[in-house]
Amino acid sequence: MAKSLHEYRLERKFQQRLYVFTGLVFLAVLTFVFQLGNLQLVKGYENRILAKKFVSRQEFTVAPRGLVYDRNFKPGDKPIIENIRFIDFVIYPSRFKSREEAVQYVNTFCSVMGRDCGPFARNLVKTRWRQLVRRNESITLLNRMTRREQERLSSFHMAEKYGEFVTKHLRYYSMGPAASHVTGYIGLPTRRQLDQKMALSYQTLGKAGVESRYDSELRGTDGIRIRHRIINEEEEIAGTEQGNTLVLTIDRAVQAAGYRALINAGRRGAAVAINAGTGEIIALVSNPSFDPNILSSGTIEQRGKHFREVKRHNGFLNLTIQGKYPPASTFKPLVALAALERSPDRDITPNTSFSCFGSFTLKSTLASAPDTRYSCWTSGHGRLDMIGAIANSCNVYFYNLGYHIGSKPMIHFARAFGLDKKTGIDLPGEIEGRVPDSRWKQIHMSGAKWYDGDTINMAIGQGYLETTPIEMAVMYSGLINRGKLFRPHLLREIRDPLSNRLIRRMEPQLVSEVPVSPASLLAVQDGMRAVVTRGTARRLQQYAVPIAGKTGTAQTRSRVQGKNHAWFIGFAPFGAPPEETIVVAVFVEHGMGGGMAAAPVGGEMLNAAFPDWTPQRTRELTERRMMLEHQVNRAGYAAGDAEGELNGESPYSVLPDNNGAEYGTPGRATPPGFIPGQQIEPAIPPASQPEPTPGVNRPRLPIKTESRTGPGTRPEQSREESTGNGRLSL
Amino acid sequence: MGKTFRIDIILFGLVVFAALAGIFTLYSQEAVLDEAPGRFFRQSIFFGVGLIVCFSLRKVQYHSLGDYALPLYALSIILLLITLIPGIGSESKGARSWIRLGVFGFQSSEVAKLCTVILLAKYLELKEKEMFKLPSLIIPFLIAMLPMMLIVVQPDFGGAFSLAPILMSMLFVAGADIYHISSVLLFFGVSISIPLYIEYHKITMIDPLSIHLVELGKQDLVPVVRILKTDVWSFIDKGVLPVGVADQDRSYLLGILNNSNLLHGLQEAASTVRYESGGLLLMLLENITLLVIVGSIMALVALVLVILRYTQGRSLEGLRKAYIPLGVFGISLLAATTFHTAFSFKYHQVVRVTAFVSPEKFPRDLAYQIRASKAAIGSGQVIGRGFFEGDMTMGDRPLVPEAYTDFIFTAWSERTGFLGAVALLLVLIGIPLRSLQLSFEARDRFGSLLAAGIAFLFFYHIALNTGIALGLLPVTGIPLSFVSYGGSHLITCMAGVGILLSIYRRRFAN
Repeated sequence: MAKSLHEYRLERKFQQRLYVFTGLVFLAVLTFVFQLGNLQLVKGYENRILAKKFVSRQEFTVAPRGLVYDRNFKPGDKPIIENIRFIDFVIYPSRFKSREEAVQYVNTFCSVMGRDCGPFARNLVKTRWRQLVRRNESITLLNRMTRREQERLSSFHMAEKYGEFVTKHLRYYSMGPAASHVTGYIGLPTRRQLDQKMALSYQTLGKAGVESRYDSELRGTDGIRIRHRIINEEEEIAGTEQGNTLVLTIDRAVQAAGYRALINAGRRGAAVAINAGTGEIIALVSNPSFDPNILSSGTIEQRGKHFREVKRHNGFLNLTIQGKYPPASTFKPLVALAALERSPDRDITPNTSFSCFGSFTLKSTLASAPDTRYSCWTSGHGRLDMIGAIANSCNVYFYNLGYHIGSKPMIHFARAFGLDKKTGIDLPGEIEGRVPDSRWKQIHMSGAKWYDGDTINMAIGQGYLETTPIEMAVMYSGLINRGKLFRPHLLREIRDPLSNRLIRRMEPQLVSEVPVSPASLLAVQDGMRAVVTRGTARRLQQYAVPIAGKTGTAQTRSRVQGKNHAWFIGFAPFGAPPEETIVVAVFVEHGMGGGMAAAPVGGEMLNAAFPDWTPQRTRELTERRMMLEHQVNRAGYAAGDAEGELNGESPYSVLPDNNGAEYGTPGRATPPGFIPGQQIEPAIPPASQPEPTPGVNRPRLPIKTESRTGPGTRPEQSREESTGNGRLSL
Repeated sequence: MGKTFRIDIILFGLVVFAALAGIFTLYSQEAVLDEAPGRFFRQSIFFGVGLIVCFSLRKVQYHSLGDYALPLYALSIILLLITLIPGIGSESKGARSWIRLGVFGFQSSEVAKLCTVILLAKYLELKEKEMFKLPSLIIPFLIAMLPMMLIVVQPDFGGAFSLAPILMSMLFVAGADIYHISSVLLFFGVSISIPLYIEYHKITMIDPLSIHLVELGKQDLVPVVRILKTDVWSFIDKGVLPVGVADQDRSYLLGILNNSNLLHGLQEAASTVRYESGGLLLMLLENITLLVIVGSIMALVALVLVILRYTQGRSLEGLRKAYIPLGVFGISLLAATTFHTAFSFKYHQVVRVTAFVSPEKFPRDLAYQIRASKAAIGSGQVIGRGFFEGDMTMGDRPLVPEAYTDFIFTAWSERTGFLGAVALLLVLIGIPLRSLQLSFEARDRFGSLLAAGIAFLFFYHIALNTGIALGLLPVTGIPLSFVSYGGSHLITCMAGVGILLSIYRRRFAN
């Protein structure tokens, strides 16, 4: 077939363009091969791992948390915190072919189990269903199955194909609110905890108390499973391991008795019992409290409701370690000890006596300012020695004593016994108390100076002094245990959950040892015993076990009567070695009187701690005590005779005076750069009256005053400005 | 001479291999299931039917197809129209693309593609000598546009879009002026890609913006980004509040608008982020005034040149090399600004089209298909995971969606690795290449054009599909010829092969 030139050209053009297009095809193939090589050869390994992530899904089996027992642990005992195991039945939407199939399945399920389908309808809506499929989340069809339900479900053949039986654990706190401040509770992690990688979103973790403090011990190790998304195939990588068993130092009986007694008192309050020789906490109660069972295992509505309710009453505040109050008269034994040990002239003995006629007058050093009267809690005690003064909680005696020894020894001993430090208890959120000195006052009270009025207030534990109940308990155990302070702790042992093998035991941890003479301590202890035998807490004689202690009634800022806080700090058995002695610190907010509100709580707890007490034991202890006193007196006076005559020191003192300037000696506490001229003048200007001589101002004992008035920098008006308005203290 | 090989063994062999690869892949996907949906079985039947169609068409004189081209085209258009009628057309995956007759159903769009190719071939043969003229391009465009429109409204973008490159390629080989073809490509390329480029950056710059705000210590402004998402840019630039913002968010945003200090801080952060991640190009493209001015100047210069040429006569023939690109580019810029301002793209459309560029910058579930497909292909490594081990592409609801239809190349690559994937790719590409050769050898012009058209039909389906699976192209639903599960497309392709064989059989003039 002959072709014209034009046709031939067209033909050539067509063929050329086919070649061009063929080139295009080869270019495309080259690109694809290049990309294939990139994906499969260069990044092949990464992509295989990536594909594995697409295909498999990590699922976790939550490990049961560890059990918690009280101090009388025997295998098989009922724990304070235990787990209740139950089984849920869940289905996975991603295993169904379609939503319609799932709807039908759920309907059949409900009819077999005789349940209402209503609750599941929400999850079977199209949008929600897609979401569930995408996230591979589950729907719980049966919550906390009973045995009968399990049996019935096994007759339902489809059960295992789409669904799974999931074992879950509920935390059960057998003591409930009574020990809630010890145990704490558990819950899902907060956003912040998730950010800090403290827990994964499905895990629970301790929110307070021991649950929080020993969370890492209790949590255990979760099991990990890898599930194939397409084939119904599962591979277990790690099994679950239950958390360790904790044995606490808590005694269930004492704890319960304390909680009951505090509830009966009907006020906010706290009680803590510790072993004087080891620091083990026997009971720790704070009222108001919360129910950890609701907070840990309730439905979300129950939890929210209870949480708000507790929050409203400040029930999450653990008053034993987070409540700070003036210790009032319970501070007096320490003042007595300070006087015996650190009186500037070494002239105080247990036999030193002052007379109480109902009030103590602090003479004004300023002519125009009136004298200040500090009253006792009753109209007058007459003449009292130290033991009598402690027994009857005579304020006037301690005003005199405090005024005589000055603030320095009191502050020194308060700090040495740890009243301004955290005790280091193994619970989260502890706060420290406050022992004021002139520097503190200057900083916090807009530059006010330390006056004698402050010293006098401090002598009865009022003023700016504030302590927590646990600090007071530790301080009293120091008074019993020759000045040794142990770190209080709740944990006794950590044990293996399966074999109960001991993993770790908490040893008593000595924090500090205050050097004090045994004679002084015995005198103070005698005073505290007298509180029970003939003093303000006589009602505690009803218990078989010999109790000693000190009551306290802290005046609050509120002037309303009946708003005073009640304290009782006691120990029993009196005369026993420290390792067998239990110290109880009880605080009742607005409890009126220490002897009335707080002492019964302490008595109940000590009674519960020594349930089978016999008079025979009491007699043995009395003999032991007398022997001890005899030995100490002989040794003490022998030493005292020798040293006292030579150095003019009290036989009760074993300490050299180190003249510590930091303990609020008035004159020296003035910070550098302080100009007396800038000081705020008292409202009443100094009159032309001649200054009263210091010697005349001092009641009773002729004591040198230089040590307190200090060098000349201190103006005279310090003594007339006292903060106390006749603080009441007993 | 041709007695022994009346059938083109190469083409037929490649087709059979490709189809068997598809059937095997479908079988391996179902092997793990208890209740197999039987796709591989049905695909085998489709292949059998396809073979019958193929051999029937092989017997048919292809010139008669040319004679009946217009009726065939009309029939396919009618079928497309019928599909749109709710009673007859049945819906699948959101698109009304099926005609269902009892148990038997088919996608009319596949038939329409082949008929369009036949009609185009016939028309281009008739207009063979005038192809370099612009007016002769109008009718082919209309021929292709009609079925494209009807397929788009189903809506099946992939199916509609695959016709466009076929049309362009047929015009190209039929001898259309290269300037005309590239003008069309340039116009659509520029006017669509500029708005898309801007929208793409609007999406990918959201995360950098919130990170930058945090870096600057303006945490209180981060919620703006969270609430507004892509609307944040128009909010920053023009203070526009979108309609769907609820009361609390609305008052918060209004508060920011009223506080010039905060708004200024936001604008400053936005401009920094724009410059850092978009660069100079984005700054230029976002400047609408600049685009309009440049576009207008180019168009005007081109107009002047056109007037110059037609007034000065044939001596300035060479000017068209300058004014066509210039004018088209200018008009495209103007069109791009119009597109951008008049109908702004929807968020999901932009994501769909641009997510393949960098899937990791997009929200997880939006770019899921691409990420999954790339990971699955890559996990095949050199020799593959084994034929029954393709974890990501097996089962009734595989992790790579559509792993038995549009993403079957992924399934094959995961199973057979680089070697298998390259082999299948070569086999598949061999089919259009062999078709092109048949086109080259065909007896007459109609046969050549028809063979070329069918070759383009195969090639674009294969290239677009593999490109999508490999993450080189935006995801649209385009089946892989001969391999993907689906009767309509397979039988249509087999019909195409039948026509090719018919052309092969009659390649000698006597």
